[in-house]
Amino acid sequence: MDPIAGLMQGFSVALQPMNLVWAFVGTLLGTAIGVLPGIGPALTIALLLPVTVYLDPTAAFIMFAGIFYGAMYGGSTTSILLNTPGESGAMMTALEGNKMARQGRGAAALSTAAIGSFVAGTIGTLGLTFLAPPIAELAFIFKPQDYFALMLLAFLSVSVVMGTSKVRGFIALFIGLSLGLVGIDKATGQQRLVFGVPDLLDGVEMTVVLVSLFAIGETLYVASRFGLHVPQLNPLAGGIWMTKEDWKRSWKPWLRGTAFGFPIGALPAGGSEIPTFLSYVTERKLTKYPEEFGHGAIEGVAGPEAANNASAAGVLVPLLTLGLPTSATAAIMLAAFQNYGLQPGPMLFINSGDLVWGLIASLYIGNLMLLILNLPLAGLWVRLLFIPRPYLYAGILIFSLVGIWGVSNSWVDLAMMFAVGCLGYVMRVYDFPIAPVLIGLILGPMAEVQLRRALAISQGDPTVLVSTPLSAVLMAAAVLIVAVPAALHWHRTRKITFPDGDES
Amino acid sequence: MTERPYWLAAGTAGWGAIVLWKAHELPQFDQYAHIGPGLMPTAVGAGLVLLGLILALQIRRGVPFEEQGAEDVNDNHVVSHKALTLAAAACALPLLTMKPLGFVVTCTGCFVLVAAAFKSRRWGLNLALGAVVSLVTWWLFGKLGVQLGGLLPALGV
Amino acid sequence: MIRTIFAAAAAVTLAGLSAAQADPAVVMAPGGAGGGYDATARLPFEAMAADGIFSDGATFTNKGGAGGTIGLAEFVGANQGNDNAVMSMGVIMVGGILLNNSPVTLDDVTPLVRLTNDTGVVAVPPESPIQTVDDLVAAMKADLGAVAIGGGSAGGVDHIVMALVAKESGLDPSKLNYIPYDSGAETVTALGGGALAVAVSGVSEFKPMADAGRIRIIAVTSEGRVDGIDAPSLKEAGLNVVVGNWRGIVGAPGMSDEGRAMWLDRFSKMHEGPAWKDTLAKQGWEDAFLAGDDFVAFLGEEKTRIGAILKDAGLVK
Repeated sequence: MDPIAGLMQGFSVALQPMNLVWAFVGTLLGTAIGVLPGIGPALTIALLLPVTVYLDPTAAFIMFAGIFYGAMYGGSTTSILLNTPGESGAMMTALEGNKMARQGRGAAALSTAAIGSFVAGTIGTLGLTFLAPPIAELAFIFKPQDYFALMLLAFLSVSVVMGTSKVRGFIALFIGLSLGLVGIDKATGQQRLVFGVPDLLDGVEMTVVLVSLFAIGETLYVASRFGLHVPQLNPLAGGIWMTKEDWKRSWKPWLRGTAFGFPIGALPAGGSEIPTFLSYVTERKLTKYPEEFGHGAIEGVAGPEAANNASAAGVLVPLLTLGLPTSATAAIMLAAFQNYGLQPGPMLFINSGDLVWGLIASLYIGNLMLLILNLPLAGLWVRLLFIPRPYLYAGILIFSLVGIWGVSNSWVDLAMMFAVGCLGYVMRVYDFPIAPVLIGLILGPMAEVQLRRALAISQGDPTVLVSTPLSAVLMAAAVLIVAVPAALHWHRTRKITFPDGDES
Repeated sequence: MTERPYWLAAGTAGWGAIVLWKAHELPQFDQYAHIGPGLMPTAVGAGLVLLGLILALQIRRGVPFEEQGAEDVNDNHVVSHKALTLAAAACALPLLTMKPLGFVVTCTGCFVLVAAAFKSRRWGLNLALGAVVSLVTWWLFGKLGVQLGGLLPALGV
Repeated sequence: MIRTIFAAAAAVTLAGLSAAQADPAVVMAPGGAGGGYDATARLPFEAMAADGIFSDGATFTNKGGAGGTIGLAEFVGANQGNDNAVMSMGVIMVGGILLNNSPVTLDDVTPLVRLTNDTGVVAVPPESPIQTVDDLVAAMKADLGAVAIGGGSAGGVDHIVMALVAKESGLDPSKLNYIPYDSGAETVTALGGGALAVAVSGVSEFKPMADAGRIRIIAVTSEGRVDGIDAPSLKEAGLNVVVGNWRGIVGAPGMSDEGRAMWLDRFSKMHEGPAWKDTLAKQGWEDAFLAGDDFVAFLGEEKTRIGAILKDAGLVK
């Protein structure tokens, strides 16, 4: 079946009133749950898996698609308004988004996130419709050395988020790397830094660190320095709409973010984090307003949010074309396929074309629905900031506990929450950047695994790391990213005698 | 601030030393990849020790530590240790009460403590609000299937 | 300490309740939602409810980690002597206990039934010169390190298959160039893309890609051949290697004889009924029902066999 005819047929299924209702329920549920720290789309769909007994497959998948995109979007709301990202893909959004919210531009940040998500989701879904087979081939082309080079590139380029002091940035990064080492070494089965605690065998839970560093650290910090008579900032000072200028500065980051997110999301070991890192860095390098970065630059919200959502669409490519689940969410959707006795895989399009095209069509509808739902809500969400501070922060703690306790029921995770929360407090007081900790924690283990795989396959020959065209190009780019600014810096400091003024 | 927080450097290097010590117990090399399970921990531990030393030098030279800004923070950066203790107690409370007393009681306690840290003095109202929010959260997410445990695990309900 | 006391208190309360009235079963799935242990825990109860065998419902707890040993420890700690508590488990847990040096073992629980099995397959890239198991063994004998093997976690069933292949061929299992992957999706793309020389995974994960011509299956790990796969079993090819990724159910530690008999009866009836057959077909699971003492004996053999091969592979001291 050619894509156009398939899509038309899909729309005829997805546009049935009952299915529209399911799409609406899904997006609503997804957005609501995505707002909560630690509870992402994977868990939501897993929790709703039992409903598949009562729903016909098309309706269920239409609802799941809504949850899938909705949760991706929902994560941005708390990042922007409360500086408490609920999942790793939303972390980069918090960096600039929360600064915007503090200037009363929260609604504009939410809007650019919503529209960016819509644009990225739609382009991603278009890619899924028309380019799925070739994009899926990327999964076979990427070798461990290519993954390693990609991760190294992401690693080295994030030095820009390291803040005022490079030393403190590197300390943050290395703390993250050391946390990432905890657990069973995947390659050999050896225990590392476990200290005899069985709960640590599977490593430090990323969401626990994320939520603790941001939400708990922020609560401790603000509480300790909370004055009763702070100048009340009007969260709506910047209006509830994006200005013409905002639009002008947002549309390119949306497209670039999509270009990062979609293909990387389609890779089995890609994920949503790397595209958001790369997007943030790119926007920071390309912007005409570099002085605004770190103080609420709209590009830094538009790009990563688009990348995040495009990667979600990317995940569906290998799932639908090859039957390969490349993320936790995809694995659970696969389980749902199996509940209906559908055999996912290369034959799915042929055997269950109706269902697959209905699902794809519902992605378009879900996306549009999210936009319609969230644009007016942006103004409403911002009013969250009118909640009296004692209750706002108490609520944040309770929702953090839902995420941390509800996911694992582990006492060790609660202890981790307290310890990492204190770390987050100290880091705020002494001006250590927060993001590198998470970057180290996320990328470190990934990069180590790919490096060791590449070397194991080549039996220890290091030249393997640049043996494919892709790895050579990415590796060269990584070297340039470090070398060029260093050379420029050296050149400049030779001319002018005082050091290059990093922004504070 | 002319404070010299050497303990930050000591903490960094100390954690690095622990990582190094644990890494030492692991094989550093592997038969095919050559990079064994211990090599990365060794590198990271050594990096942390080194960074701790550099930070100590920076502190000796009197490098400034400016606090990060946040919303609702008073301008003069006066630290209320009482508020900090209350907020920290709220975050530590679940360690003691989550298992035996369950989600609802724990979160009510957390709510009251955080509200107190933020200088809210309406204890009765805070207690009631905290209990309602916790109960609704527990019930709602329990319905959704999130495992938050029983209402009062010590009593078996 | 406090935790133990409260766990004991909870267990006592639960035991008191279960003696009073028929009430929901307490079910532990020692893996995350949507995974194999989760399905093995939930689906039998759905089938039992559908066939009217046991309809008091069940409360499920998911506790993943470390090959299921975290969930096992919690299950044993919280359900001493609780006739109403059961847990899903499988061959991965048998290995996981040894690999993670778990203080709690399967000796602490009451084995009930084995339910399902997923046969493993050995596959190579489509253009690989390796055509048969003999070719594979010859390649491994020529240069063991040059044969990069992909599969699931280190010491898992996939690794065990190749360690046994090496041992049967007179090679040192600890010298395998085994590269673990997190998911079947990663393994199959690495194999299809030619990064790996050979990979092992479950039938359900590899068969669709083999049917699409992206990989080529050269052997299956069951006793005989598998329908729909044109490849011999390793045993037919002359290597005495039979490994299955089986899953089953165990009861609480110190379960009474009556409790054990009650669950064995329920599972036997479920196995006869139509709902379970339907579930097996939908999930693509092989029926591997083995109950009571036969399962206890089988479990004992698996423990010995897996312990020995993990030691040979240098993964367990």
